[in-house]
Amino acid sequence: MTSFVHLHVHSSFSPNWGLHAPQELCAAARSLGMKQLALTDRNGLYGLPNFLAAAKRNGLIPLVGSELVSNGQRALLLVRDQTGYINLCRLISALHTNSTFDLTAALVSHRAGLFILSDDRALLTRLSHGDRNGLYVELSPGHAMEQSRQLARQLKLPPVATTRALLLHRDDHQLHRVLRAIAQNTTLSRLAAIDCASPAALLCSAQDLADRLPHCPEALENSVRIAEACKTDWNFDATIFPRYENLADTEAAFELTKRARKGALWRYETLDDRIEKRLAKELNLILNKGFAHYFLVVQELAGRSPRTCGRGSAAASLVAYCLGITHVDPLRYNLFFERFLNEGRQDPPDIDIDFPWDERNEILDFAFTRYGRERAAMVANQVGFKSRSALREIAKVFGLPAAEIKSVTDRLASCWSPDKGVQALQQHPLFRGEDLHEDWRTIVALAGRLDGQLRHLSQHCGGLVVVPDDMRYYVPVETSAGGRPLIQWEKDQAEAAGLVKIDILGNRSLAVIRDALAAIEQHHGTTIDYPSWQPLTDDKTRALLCAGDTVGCFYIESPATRQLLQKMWHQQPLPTEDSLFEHLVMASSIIRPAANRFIREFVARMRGKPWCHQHSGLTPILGETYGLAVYQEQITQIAIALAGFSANEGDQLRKIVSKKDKEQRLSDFQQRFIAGGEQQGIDRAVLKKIWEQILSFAGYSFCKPHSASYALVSCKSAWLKANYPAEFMAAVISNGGGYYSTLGYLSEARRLGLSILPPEINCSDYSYRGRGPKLRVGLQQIATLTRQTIDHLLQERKHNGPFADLADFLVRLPQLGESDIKLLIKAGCFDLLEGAHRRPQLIWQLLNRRHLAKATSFDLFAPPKPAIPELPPCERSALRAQELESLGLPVSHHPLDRCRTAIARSGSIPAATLGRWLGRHVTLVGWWVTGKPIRTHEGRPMEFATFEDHSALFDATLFPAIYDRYCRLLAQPRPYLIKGLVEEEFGVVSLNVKWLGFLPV
Amino acid sequence: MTRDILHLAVPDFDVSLARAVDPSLRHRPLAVAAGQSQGSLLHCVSIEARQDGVTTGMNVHLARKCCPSLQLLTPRPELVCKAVRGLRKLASHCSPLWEPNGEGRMFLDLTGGSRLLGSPLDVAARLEQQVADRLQLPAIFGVAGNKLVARMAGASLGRPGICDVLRGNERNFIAPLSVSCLPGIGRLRNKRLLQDLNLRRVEQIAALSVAQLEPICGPFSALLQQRSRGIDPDPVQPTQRSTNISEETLLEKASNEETAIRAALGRLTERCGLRLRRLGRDTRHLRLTLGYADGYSIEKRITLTTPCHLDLDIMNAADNLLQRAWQRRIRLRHLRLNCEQLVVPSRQLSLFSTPQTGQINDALQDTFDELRQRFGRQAVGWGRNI
Repeated sequence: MTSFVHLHVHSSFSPNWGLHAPQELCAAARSLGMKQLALTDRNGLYGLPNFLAAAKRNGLIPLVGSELVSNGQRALLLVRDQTGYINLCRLISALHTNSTFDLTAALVSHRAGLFILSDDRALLTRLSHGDRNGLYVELSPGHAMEQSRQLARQLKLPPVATTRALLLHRDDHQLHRVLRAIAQNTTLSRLAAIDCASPAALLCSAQDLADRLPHCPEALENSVRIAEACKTDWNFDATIFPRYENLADTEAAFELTKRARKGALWRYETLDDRIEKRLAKELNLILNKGFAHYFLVVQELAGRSPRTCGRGSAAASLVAYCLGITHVDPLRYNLFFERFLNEGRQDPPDIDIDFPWDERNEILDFAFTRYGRERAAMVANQVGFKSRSALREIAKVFGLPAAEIKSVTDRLASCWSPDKGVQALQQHPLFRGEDLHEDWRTIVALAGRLDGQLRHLSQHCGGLVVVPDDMRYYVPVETSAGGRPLIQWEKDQAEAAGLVKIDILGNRSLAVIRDALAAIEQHHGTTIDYPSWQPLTDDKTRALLCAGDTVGCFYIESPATRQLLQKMWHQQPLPTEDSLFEHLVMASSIIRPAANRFIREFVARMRGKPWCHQHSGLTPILGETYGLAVYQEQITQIAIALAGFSANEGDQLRKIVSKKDKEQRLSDFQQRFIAGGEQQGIDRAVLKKIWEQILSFAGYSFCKPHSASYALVSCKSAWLKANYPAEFMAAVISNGGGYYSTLGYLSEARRLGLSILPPEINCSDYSYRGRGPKLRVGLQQIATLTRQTIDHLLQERKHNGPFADLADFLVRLPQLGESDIKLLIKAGCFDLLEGAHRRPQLIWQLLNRRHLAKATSFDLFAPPKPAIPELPPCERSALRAQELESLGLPVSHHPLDRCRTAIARSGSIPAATLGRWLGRHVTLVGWWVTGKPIRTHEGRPMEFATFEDHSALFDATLFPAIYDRYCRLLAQPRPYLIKGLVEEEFGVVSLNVKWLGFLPV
Repeated sequence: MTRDILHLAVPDFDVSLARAVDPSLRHRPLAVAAGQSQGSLLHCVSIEARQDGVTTGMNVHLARKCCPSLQLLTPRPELVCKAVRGLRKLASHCSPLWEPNGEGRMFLDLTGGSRLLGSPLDVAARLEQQVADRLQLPAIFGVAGNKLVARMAGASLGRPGICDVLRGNERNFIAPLSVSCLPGIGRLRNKRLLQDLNLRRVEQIAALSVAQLEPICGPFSALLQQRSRGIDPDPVQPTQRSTNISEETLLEKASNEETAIRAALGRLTERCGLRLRRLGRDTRHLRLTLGYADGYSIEKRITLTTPCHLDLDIMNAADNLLQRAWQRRIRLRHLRLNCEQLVVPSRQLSLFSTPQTGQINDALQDTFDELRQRFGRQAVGWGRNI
């Protein structure tokens, strides 16, 4: 029987080249009877950890390498030993980061531990002058094999057969060509053959290849010899921690203990037994696991900003709290430390820290300065195709115009996979009855076959990896668009390879709090001491939270959370500080995609409905959450208590429940859970009910420490909103808001009694400014006005005083562009100085400035300067159009203001009076605010929508039958006419929509 | 002397022709497209289809979405030729001075003919009757003291009929019209005039001096002011023999397939080549215009080192131009090839080239031309152009 090993194989991790995931390739190789398989993605090791896992699952021996292609030179490199791996990582890194990279020259100096296969004559000739060991000529069907054989004979190098495999089936080649056309920014008809793989690049059997190479059997035999000599003992089990200030491990342990104890005294003033015991337990575990350096590094980074939010499971750690990494007292709020670290946990800890979004780059700059570009790098995002991008890119290859593409892709969610996007096109009500163009049918068919193909890397929003020596010993490094080093793996593969990630994330609400506090200090002279700030001691804040008036407040502003808060405390006495905080933590945890039916039960129990635990073993676990699983760590605890799972197994179950490709492994866990529970004598029916609760954590869910960290920020936001609404709303909008659009926040500001003032050349700053009952629009709102222009303007105003009129402005700021000044005029910045009616004249003056500048040369016969013409003043509608054009939204009025007559005629009721119409059918006029499409238990789409009118926000539900009919009308910037039934639950009123249309204006 | 200018326009020319042949098509939403496939592009659209949002240049698929009852017609070049000939014949009975202004449109200068033919209004009425009787076509007539106002008068009607503007009253007539009616006001100028400076009516522009308009419209200001005051000294000019050859094609279906585009270009070069040889001229300069499906167009030019008239030479040069001009992936829907700077072929042979090759190529081309003349244009052709 012919022996052969595929040494040149591309997976979907070969950017813009490969098609199939390592798992598919391994399964295919296994079905062909292969025992070994190499993965040699192009210019990278993008999928190495995934490949190693897939090979293990399929019982294959993995061989690792990469095909390096650079400036017309090409070589396939296979790893023989650890030195070879390091050299490969260095070569790949140099290829991506060094603009003068020369593959041949680089191979001359870094070829130790590597097999080199190539059919590049110049490269092989040069390398053959040195060590000829490990040098082979690559023979591949479809790639001038005869010339390669001749080269082998001439250079007296052994040949080796490969197929440069990337296809599993013949028809894969069409998809590959589409990928290439996308990458080359060309069309299929203009795609050169040299830019594509050969149709013979199949993962074929040994016999198929032998049939193609009857004249060169040694080429196949050589593949086996190479495979036998390659490195196969791949092990990424060791965790690679950063090293703090080059301290020895014992020194780091001592330093951490010292700091933790010092921090504990700072936090608690005196240390009682409980604190001592917890601190000792945590320190013991942290030091035993060798995490001391990691904690010290994270503390150093967190200390760079006075306002941070350490979140995730790390908030359960008392050590993290004492070090100032997190800010919620884990003892006071009973946070489960084992969710963060336990004896059995094998994966590295993960500490996430939020910084104000505009300070994040400074923190990263500090980290790179501190540890250097050799030791630190950012984690990558491996960007592939999603539903929209797959359809859009293929449609571009087919030459469809952008507008036509947009009309289809706009209706798809950007986070869907291509496959889900295609399913939506075929089944979702948004596309029902849609007769797709014949070209679109081809495009959709191709898009459905795209799944996980890597296009390029981008920088993860905050994942930082620091190693003790050189990052290139572990993983190839590229350079991100922002110039930072970037490893080739995304967070999951980085974790699988033992690299410890520190998440440095940007949080807009921390910036909101910072800016609002600064404004409060400036306007009112009130200084808040941030570390000792207790927002919930304020009655107004507690009342605001209980009423669900939390638009703008971090993490609790979505319609679902606002409704939940209202339901929880409707007509209830104001809770105490601790009780409110505990329940706020629960509320922000239970709002998750798969837990809708448990939310109602939770509210009912909280409001006094009698209940009991499904099993007595759940009492200590679910006692604080009314017998319902609310936090992630409760999954682990339930599995340990009822089914005899170990802490590590329980943690694995928690992870798998929230993962997407979980089906197979989850069913294994379910069987073990049921079996383990039955062994402990628990009824199967009870176990199934509890399992259902566990499944409600699918999609995304949170642990208690994480929610508690966020709840603290929520409370601070709520305090600001309750006490200083103008400063708070100004900071919210200036920092880009959160769940709602700027228009939504402006409406909220109006509901808070603030009057919105348009931008003004002598009053506006860059950001929005709120003071007393007024909110002034910032110059940042003017679309396309650059930061530099605004800075020039503000500096000039600061140094030389306010502007007298447009003429004065033009003289003092001659460097500003005409289009920028025109935008300022249209935005109404000169209305106070000149009057809105003079805007046409001002624009003429501006145009005339350029005209006069052209004619500055001395001309004896130059005509006199023309007088400013009398131009007709703009009507109200024209002014509004200019406001929309320059600011992107109406600020001087609400969009419904233009429809007052139509609203009066429509017979609608104001949303504020909805509560008076319980159980009745009513008509409302509303402006779309936001929507949340979901699927019912049966998988039918429906949507929760929020509208507003002049009086209030109101929530409306479009159940599946209604959603089917009206989904195409949703999310339009037009006034809606909505008819429906007014319903109430726990005192919260909503509209069950029965009919929806546009208000005839 | 007061001038009398008449502008004649057959609305939706291709559709009107189809209705002239088949009256049962009246009052139905119609569109003329070169092909029946979903990607075929519409050449001409009836008013009923326009009311449903269908526009010229739209593809059939989208047009059917806008107007499910849309009926598609194929272009009939023979009818177009016949109708154009008919219109010219009728016009020549009214005035020796007429100027074509696109398909189914023309200016007639009736100045000084009132004693012979009656008043311009009578001429227009008679012509309207004749166009309706002999060609079964509707027509819109504008009569005024100059070409500009005559055309604007007709366009202001929006339906078949006659609009006669009192001579000397041109300025008053166009004063209340929208600024966008003035020729030369494109999208950009319209935005600047209409939205930024709030100039909405022609009279508002007419009230401004040239100096005041210059910051807004630059060198175009003087002409714009003249036009806004209803002044147009441009005479009606009979067709002159063109010094250029231009051939264009609207692809049957928008495409970005290289073979299809090269074939379409090849067919254009064959048509240009034939016209060049009939004129006995060589071309020294080629200009290629590509129109994309999203409305964007690009133009590239090339000056040939040696003027040529043979299909193969023009084809090679045009292919070169295509490679330079075709940089986007969006489908193309329109190609135009212009042969400019026509010169008399040089009889001077090159000292260093073999004269035989040129002679053989000429003989081969002559044979092709003869075959096509005797057996039709499809009788023989280049494989790449099929």
